[in-house]
Amino acid sequence: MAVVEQASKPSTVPQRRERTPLGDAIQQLLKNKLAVGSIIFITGLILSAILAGFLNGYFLQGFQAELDRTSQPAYAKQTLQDNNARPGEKSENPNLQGFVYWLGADNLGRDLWSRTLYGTRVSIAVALVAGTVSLIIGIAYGLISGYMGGRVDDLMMRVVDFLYGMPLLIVVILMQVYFKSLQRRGDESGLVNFILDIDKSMGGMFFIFVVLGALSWLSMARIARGQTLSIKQKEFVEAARATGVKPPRIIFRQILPNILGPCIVQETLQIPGYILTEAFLSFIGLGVNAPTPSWGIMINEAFQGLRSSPHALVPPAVALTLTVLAFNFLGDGLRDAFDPRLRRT
Amino acid sequence: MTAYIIRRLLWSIPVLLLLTFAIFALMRAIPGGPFDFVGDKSLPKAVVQNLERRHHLDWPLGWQFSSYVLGDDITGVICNGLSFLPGCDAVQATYQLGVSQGLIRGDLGMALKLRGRTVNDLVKESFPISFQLGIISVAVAVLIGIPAGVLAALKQNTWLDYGSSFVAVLGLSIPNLVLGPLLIWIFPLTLGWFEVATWGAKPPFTLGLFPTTMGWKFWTHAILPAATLGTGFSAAIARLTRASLLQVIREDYIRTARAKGLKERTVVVVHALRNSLIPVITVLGPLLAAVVTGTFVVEQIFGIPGMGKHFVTSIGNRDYPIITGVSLIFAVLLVLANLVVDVVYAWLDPRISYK
Amino acid sequence: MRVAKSEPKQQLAQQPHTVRKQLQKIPVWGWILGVLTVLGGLGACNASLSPSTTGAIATATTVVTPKDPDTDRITLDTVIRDEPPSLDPALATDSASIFFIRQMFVGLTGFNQDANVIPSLATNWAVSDNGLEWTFYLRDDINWVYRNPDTGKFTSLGAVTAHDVVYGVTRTLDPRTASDYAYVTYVIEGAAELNTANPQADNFEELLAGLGVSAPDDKTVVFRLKKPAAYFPSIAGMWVTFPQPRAAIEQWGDAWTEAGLIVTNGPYTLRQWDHNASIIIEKNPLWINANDVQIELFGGPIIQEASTAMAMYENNQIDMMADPGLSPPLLDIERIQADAHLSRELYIAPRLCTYYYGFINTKPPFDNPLIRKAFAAAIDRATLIKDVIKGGQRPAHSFAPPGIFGNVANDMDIGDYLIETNYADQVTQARQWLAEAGHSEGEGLAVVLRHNTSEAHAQIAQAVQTMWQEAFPRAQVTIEAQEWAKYLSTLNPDSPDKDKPNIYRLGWCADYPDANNWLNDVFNSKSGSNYARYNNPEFDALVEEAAFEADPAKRRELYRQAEDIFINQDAAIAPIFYYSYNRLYKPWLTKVVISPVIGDPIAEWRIDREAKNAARGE
Repeated sequence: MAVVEQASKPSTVPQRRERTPLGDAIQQLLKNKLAVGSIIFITGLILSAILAGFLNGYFLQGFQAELDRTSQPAYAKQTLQDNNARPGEKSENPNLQGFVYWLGADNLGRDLWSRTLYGTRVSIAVALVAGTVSLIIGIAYGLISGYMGGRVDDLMMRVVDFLYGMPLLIVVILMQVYFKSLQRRGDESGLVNFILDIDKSMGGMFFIFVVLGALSWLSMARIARGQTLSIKQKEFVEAARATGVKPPRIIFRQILPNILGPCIVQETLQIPGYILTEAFLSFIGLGVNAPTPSWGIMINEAFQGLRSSPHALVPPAVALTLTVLAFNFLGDGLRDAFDPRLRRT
Repeated sequence: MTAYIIRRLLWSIPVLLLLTFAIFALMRAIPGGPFDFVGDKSLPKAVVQNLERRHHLDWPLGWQFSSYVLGDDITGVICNGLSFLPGCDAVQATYQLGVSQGLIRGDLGMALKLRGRTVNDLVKESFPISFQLGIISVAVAVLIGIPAGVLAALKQNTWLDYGSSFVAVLGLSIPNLVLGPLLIWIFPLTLGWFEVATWGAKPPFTLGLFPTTMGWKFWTHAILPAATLGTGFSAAIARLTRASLLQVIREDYIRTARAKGLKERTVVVVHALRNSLIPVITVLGPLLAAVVTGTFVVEQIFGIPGMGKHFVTSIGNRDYPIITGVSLIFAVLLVLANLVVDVVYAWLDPRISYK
Repeated sequence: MRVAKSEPKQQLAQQPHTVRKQLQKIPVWGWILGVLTVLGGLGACNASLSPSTTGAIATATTVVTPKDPDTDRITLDTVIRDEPPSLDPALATDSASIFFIRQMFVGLTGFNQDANVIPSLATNWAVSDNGLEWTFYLRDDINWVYRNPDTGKFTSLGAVTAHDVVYGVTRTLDPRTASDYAYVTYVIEGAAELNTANPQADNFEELLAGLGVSAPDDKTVVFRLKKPAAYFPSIAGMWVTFPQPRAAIEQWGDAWTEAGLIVTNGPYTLRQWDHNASIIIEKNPLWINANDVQIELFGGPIIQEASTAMAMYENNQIDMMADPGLSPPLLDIERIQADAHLSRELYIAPRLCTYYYGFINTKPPFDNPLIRKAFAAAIDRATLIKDVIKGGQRPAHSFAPPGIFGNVANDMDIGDYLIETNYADQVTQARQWLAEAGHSEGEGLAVVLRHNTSEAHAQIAQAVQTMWQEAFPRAQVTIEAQEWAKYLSTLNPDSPDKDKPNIYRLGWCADYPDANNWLNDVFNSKSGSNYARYNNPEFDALVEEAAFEADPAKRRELYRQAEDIFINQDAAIAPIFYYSYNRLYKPWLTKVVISPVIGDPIAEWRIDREAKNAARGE
């Protein structure tokens, strides 16, 4: 068994100042312009995901009535004669007189602005769902492993080591094929029905998001374990144990709050991976069900028609790149803020 | 150390078997079978039965797995000996078909949809292509990443440093899924340079791995996919080289070297760079793992007939042996990559020891 | 059974035993481990791996390929769009494989340019009065040939006899062969029983012997059928009923179709098949009409990307963009049509396929023919083809496409409501039908349209969805995509209706060019392919009578009536378009014979060699 020292070396005693560490970190974070920009951008993304119904081109330009008439959502509204409309072109559909395709239309005459906007939903959903699942599993696993120590720790970490060697992308793809082949029977009730409704609202991707999170907790577990190991030896934990405080209380009251910071930093850095995996699944046709837009599907569609309408590639590509960039900047910023030792010179 | 490596390898065998079984079972649990249809048509049940019988798909799952791992003959011997086991009648009926020699003899089985082709054949044709793509990408990453990192470190806090750091973050963040189509749009479609798709080398390969010729034609196919895959890695390497070199330059022995009056170039190249590359070498392992998944994505974008492409096609076809075989090979590669990383770590850093 | 283990029962004439097969048996692990050793080594000695080092390794062991002695032979160059899964007539299922099989093998009958049955190995045939016994009389001058890969010499292995046909049919139906397409011959007596039998069963030998095909002498084959089938000569032209070379198959097992092992009886034989790399077939000099065959070599590399193939075509590296190669990419079509030279090289050829939307006829609300007709009518086929599919297809208004015996594609009375000159008329009519059915404007209709996962199908589905929403604004049309294998298993007539969508998309392509393969094989209420669950006894009676009827004119009329009921009265499906595909042929191909049945006869083509060489600058 390899005992590879974790990156977290025995931490130096933190210097006590008047301010709290959290306040300090936030102040540090706010000084980082890129991180602040990223926070603003991500907030904007979340808002657009929620408010897509009011921010899409048809609503803003006063054509909601036309959508209602044909009971089509903005992302699926197509006007075949407007296919491949360039950015800024007007619609030729008599029912859409005066409608402008701000970012152009795709090869089926669908508004790219609206589709890109709705596409944030899937990306935000995967970030939230997979992120939460991975955070919970990873922290729980690392906490238990680190707190128990000894043989249990050995065994649990060996499992992590081995899982590291698994081709997770392949497992994700196969699981997704499996989920895609399931279908509602129509006689579900209660909780099952509720979950299936959530799944439907995510374009049939909820389960794979959970799986994605459930397969991405390995680094999280390692970090949580390392942190737990170092905090376990601190005086205040020793003191609590000596005074007979029960282990669950120690774990939840004293260790968990102290390891949460680094774990959240790690999770933020993992989020781009989830978003890209979703985009890739969509790209190879295993993603959201059409016509629900996802940036991966939009890139795939634009890629097919790259010769005739390259402009269709721009909105989803820019959105995807900026989102990944924002999460990377935010992750870097958080790490710098919460872990001063890693601060770059 | 040798004992450690052997122990690790031995330990990975049951894990790989477990993974193989999981994929084996998962594929068969997915509704729809490989022979339900041909083209746009579904096949009559009797025909499907004939085809399934031929590939042992009528056996219970456990026996199928046994045939996959141990081979038909051994499975047959077991069943003849222990004929009371459930499902043995089906095994006894058709084990003489000799579909599989078993993993233990290096046989990954027969492809279901390509008549008479073995998964070994397919892997032999497609693995070298994925391998070439991966290795060229790593080369691109190293050749760009290290000089860029060195330059940024030496010109610390100049526009060159900021510029290259910015490009590095951008390079890390731009997804393959965006970069690939973007490069295709810029080069082949707009400028008419390079090839849009496919790979420039075909079997047979030299040493089973390398293209027989590497002329300009090969590179017109290879440059764009390799750039797509390599950009992210080169950004990572550049960042790492910069950080590591900055740290090394402050060490005492560099100061000593300078004090001895050595030329700045000698100091940097001979003393500083060599030591600063140690952490960079250690990331080559995880990099290899990332390359393995990366080829998967890039092969889809550029239509390169590597293993990842076979894998995705085979999912739709429900070609179980190809899916299982490709997964297994990816898993073996990852296990070995991780082992290499740990060994290199230990070799470079005496603080780590293996019990 | 990848290497034949059975003892050779009959040695072929001077068969050279190549060791190629054995070389392919190096275990995968061996060389993967090798790779990683190399990799590990490279990693350890710093990242010095540069293209030049790999180049050095590569050149060190480059195998010198012998100079091609055939540069002056008359060659037709193409690409091949995919690795053929099998060149075994008993096993082939895809068009690339079948294309090559039709060059290399001949069956009892063949098909001409109009997809009519013509004599081939059989010079003539006759049917008994009860329609159950078909006798084919064979010519005796077609030989099995073997090409020695080392010397390039062709050897005749004797005439193709009636026994070879019997062997071929029996082998196709033998469950141990596991042929996907065996079922198309189930009309032969005992065929279904044999094909579905367990090879271990005690009566298996009896079933083998009981198959209704026999050879009273070397030149006569007799088929006994289960029921009368006027279309049987078409079946006798299908590759699965071709004669097969018993000696080679028994000697080499599955590997018999490899170059150097294969024995063929057609105008060409397999010269070279580098798996996943290239295929070349060579003219058979011993062929009966060898003097009339001009093109000596045909084939090229396997390339899957249409854009690459297109570049090769424009570069004069290949002579055609058509089967077994690729069609010109759709995105280039506009450019081709605008180009002065390319536009003259462009041909649009029909394919014997129809793309349609099926209604589950038993599942409400589509158990009402008025609703089916309304939804079938409210599809603007012309716009769909022009703006979405973009392949120049022909809007469909019947099931069997042009080229099929008994099709009604030129009878505009059938399905007229699907192809009005003015689409607005179709919509008006459709809205009226829906109102009659009690669903004015689509009120109260929740419709699920399902397709299998694919970009192209998704686009068509979304366009059709929009058309329906425009025509019936109050209807709720939902699209679902399902992965192919799952998709078919839920559509299967045996699956419960509640799992099925209301509307599904499918295409049907001809196995053999006769309407029996369309109306009867697919939509007879007893058919396993009847995904629409269409059940009209009147229709069943018509198509069953047509299968029996010997007079071609009467058969045509019966199929016309069947289509009339199927489309005009019941609207069981909504046909969308008849397939067609674009092809490009270089001007120096002076004679091109296209067969709607897969496998254009290359043997009849002519090429102007000087013009080709001039264009290539040779």
